[in-house]
Amino acid sequence: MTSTIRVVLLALQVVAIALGLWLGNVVWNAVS
Amino acid sequence: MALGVDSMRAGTVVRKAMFLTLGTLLFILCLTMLYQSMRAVMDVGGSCASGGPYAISRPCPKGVGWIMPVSIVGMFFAGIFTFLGVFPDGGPRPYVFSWSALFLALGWNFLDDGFDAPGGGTSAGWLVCGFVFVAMGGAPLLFLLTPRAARWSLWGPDSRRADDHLHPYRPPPVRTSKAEPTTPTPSATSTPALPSQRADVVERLATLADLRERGMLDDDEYERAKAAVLGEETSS
Repeated sequence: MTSTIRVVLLALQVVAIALGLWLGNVVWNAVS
Repeated sequence: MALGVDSMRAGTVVRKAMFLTLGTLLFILCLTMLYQSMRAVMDVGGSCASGGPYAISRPCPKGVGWIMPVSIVGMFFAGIFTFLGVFPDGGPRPYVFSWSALFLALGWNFLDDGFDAPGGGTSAGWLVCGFVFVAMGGAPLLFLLTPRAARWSLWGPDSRRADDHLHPYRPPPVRTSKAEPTTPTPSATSTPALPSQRADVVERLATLADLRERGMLDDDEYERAKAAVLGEETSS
């Protein structure tokens, strides 16, 4: 596995964490 | 190799990357909703009820009744997606941090409201839970944040190293018995037979000397045995 794909996968993880945090708060504010 | 991954088609690489990303996104989304709903319940005292035939003295905040169980189940499905998306050769393994993320997030809630309880003052029960949760979540991190574990968790297992070409595989040398004459093989990786024979002769001479010192061989027997060993070594 090349370094490039590993970096891409790590970057996707960072995006997923940020998006998950944001979506979770959006959903909570919408239903509460 | 496709998209930088050995023995995997491009479509499979994309699918696994999507599952890995989706699994992390779903886990964080569910954890955030669980965190918020837990804070909402603690703000009303730490317990609530909804539904059922009895009059409820403390109803749950809006949405908590379904968000809590759905987010917990969602985290399990997130784990499944993550396992489907992990690459065997490398790449991040985000699931190893899920335990710590869960217990540290919820432990923070306990400590935050434990030191500043809704009715004023502190809550010993919540503080105990808070310290226990933080310990449970923080202890694995002490190992996961070591350089080797962090590299395995975030970069993935090292199936190949950059200096592999400097250390090619060499099979171990084959020891031959003195009864079978060895023929040198033309293989570049075979070890020459002479050094192993010399080592064998030295070992046998040392054994003979040891036997003489212990009195199991007299001088004549030792000299005859030594001559036999050296005669064999000269003729081979």
